[in-house]
Amino acid sequence: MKDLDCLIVHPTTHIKTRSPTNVLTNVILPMGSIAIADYIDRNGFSTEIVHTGLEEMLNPSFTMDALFKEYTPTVIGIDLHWYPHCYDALHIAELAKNTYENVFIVLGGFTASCFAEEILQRFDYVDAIVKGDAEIPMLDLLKALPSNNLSNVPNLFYRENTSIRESKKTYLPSQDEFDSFNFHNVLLLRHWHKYSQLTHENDNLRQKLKRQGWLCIGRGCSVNCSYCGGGNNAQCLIARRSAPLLRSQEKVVETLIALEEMKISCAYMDFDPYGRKTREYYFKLFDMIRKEDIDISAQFLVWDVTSKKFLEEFKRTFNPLYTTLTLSPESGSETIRKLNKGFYYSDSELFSWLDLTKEILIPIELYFATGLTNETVKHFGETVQLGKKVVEEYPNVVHIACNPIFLEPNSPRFLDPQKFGIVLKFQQFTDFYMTYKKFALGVPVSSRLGYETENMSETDIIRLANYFNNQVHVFTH
Amino acid sequence: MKIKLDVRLPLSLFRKVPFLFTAPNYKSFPMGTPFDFLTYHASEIPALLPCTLCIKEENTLNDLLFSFAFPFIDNDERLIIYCTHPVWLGNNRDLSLIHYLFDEIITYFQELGEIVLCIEQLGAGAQTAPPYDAYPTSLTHLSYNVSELSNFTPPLKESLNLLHDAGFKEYRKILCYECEIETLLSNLHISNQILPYEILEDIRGRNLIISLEDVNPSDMIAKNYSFANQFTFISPQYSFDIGDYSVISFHDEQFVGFFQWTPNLLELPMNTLPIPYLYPDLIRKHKFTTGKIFRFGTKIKDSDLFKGLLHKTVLIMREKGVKTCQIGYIDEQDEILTSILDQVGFTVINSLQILKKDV
Repeated sequence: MKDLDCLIVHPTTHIKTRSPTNVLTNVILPMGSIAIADYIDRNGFSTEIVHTGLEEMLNPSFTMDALFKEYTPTVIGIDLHWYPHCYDALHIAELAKNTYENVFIVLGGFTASCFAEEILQRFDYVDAIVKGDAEIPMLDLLKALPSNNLSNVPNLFYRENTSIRESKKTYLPSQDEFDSFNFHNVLLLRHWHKYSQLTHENDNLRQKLKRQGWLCIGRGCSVNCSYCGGGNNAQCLIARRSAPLLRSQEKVVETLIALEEMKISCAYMDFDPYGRKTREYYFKLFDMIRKEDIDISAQFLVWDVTSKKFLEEFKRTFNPLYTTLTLSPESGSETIRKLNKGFYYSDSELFSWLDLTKEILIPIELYFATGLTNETVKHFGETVQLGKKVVEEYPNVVHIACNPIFLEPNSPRFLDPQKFGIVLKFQQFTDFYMTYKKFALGVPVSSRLGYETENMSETDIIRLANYFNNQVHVFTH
Repeated sequence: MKIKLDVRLPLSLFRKVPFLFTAPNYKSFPMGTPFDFLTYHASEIPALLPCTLCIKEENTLNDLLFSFAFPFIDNDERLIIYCTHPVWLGNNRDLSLIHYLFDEIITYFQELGEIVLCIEQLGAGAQTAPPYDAYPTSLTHLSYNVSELSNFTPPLKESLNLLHDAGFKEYRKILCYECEIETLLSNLHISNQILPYEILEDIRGRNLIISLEDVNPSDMIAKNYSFANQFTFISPQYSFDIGDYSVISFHDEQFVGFFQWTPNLLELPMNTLPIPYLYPDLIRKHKFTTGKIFRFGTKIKDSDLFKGLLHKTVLIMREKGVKTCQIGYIDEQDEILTSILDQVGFTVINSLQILKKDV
């Protein structure tokens, strides 16, 4: 048994199927977990991260019981950042509480923050929830636990006797604090090299040519897409963050150098919080990457169309082997795109951008969605038409897909369903929890997406996404 | 310190030795997932395995040697692991690392039972300067820039000695021939006569599916290693018309033969690599100097049919501005074919040796 001050556990969503092996999904570790683990470890509290899905992939007979026999932690931190982890995270918490007599269980992340009070009310094996940014609060929690006085731990919801209390102290990292966090100390994650080998954003657990690394560039957003639980308003509610916070370019370069040393071949970059309004930050970053002679590919998810200059700078910065740009127009209808996306661009702007990517020789991935506010079957027809045109005219588009939108906690449509023309089927944490519990147990669910729109049933939304994927695809096999 | 096999394609390989990837599923390469899967003895095997031999020192990995492995199942239901040229990735150029690499590959597959390991080695002539690097340069879907490759691959003689010591035997020698277009046209013109065959360069509208079983056995090499048993001239997978680079022949309205060629895609600017098919406009606009006949087949053993197809192909090459013609994948043991090529003016400029070992 290894004594640890803090064991950070990453849950993985289990879907029970008819096949003998269950499906493991949502295998990506929130990047903040590394920063939290590193920060508390650096400050004298021994820490390790265990990714339960990875453990299971490497050893099909892995159990949480067996894991808990390896460690004696004072605190167990479980990330509940993305809602698909809601059941598995709580399940791990319950098992931990049943195993260890005195362990302190704390949850954090977007979903835990959104439903902090409800989780503490309904699940008595959770001792506390950090709402919002958690690096310094976790350290303060570890320091405060021996005195049993948690009132000064910032951003904390906690149990005191039979009451649930909220700490009076709040915390939002300053630029200097944010830059002091280390997002690449993956040595704290068990089997980290297997993590980069086996996981990538599409949940395909098979081996790949490339090794993916997750690059933290910042937190927050300047806009609100109707379906996104990480937009500007959600960030205000969860973390009191009113404007995006970007890591200094020097720190991002430091992480990239570390990724390169770990033989990571592709940096996944999904942060573009101002869209085309300003991308000066990236011009400086790209310039520094070139000056440091960092040899790495990038999968960059731009949230808006870009200028020609951006494409040229991007192209000459990254190794072309695995370099792609991803854009999500979501709809082929300009009206629907305008209504749902924080960053709007017209069809004409989209095609001009695609023309540039073809000219500058950048492979592109495009994503569309169904279940958008006000979307009708007619609008969806425009999406199919646009997808077909793209596939026909842009051979540099290497992937195109359409996914049904799932309800995200704290998204504008979750907070104000009437305004966004949807009917909620999930209204509280328990609704998400029960759905994912049923997935794990292989029991039929009454709702998968958590809503339907005024114009489309849930079945329609899923069916249309499947229709798109059958009708519009690039030839990869 | 432990030397181990890491299934990963390092970026440094592409920087050291630029290459092209032109398998039908080329679009999934940038996403890092160009894997089809084979089922062999109830196991699923990726049809492309990037094999990096590396050494772990503390927490850092140092890459030493690399080879692409293409597993496939032959007609006798044996699992063949076809490996491309080993490429040095580090400064340590100890030849015994090649032993390590192949031992590790064998270990990787050992649970599947007996395998046949085939290794591709650049032959004599490969050390010479460009332009002997016309695409394609390998029997796989992977083509290196040969002139760059020769700086990072073990010397042929030492390499062969080592492979012989390890039990590998020469299996085949595949030749690549070359000739100036004008010389060819002049020689072919002399022997050109009225042929009983119709030779077409415009094959649009003819969705002809060619089974490699149907064509001349001289195409056996392609059959064994091209990882496809049939193909069509009109393929939705390719965003440019591969029919523009093909000629086919009919006799009494029956298909009797075909030639396929490709411009030397390695002449394209570096920034189009490794997936040139993503940029068909560039392929169309680029002025290529070399073209290569990479696949051909005739149902009838008739040297006039072969020459007729060659003549038409070379005329198209000239129309497109190509100055030099190569013809690849010629089995050294095919005496009829090699004598025709000698006769019309081709000379051997490169060879590819395939060594084999039953494991």
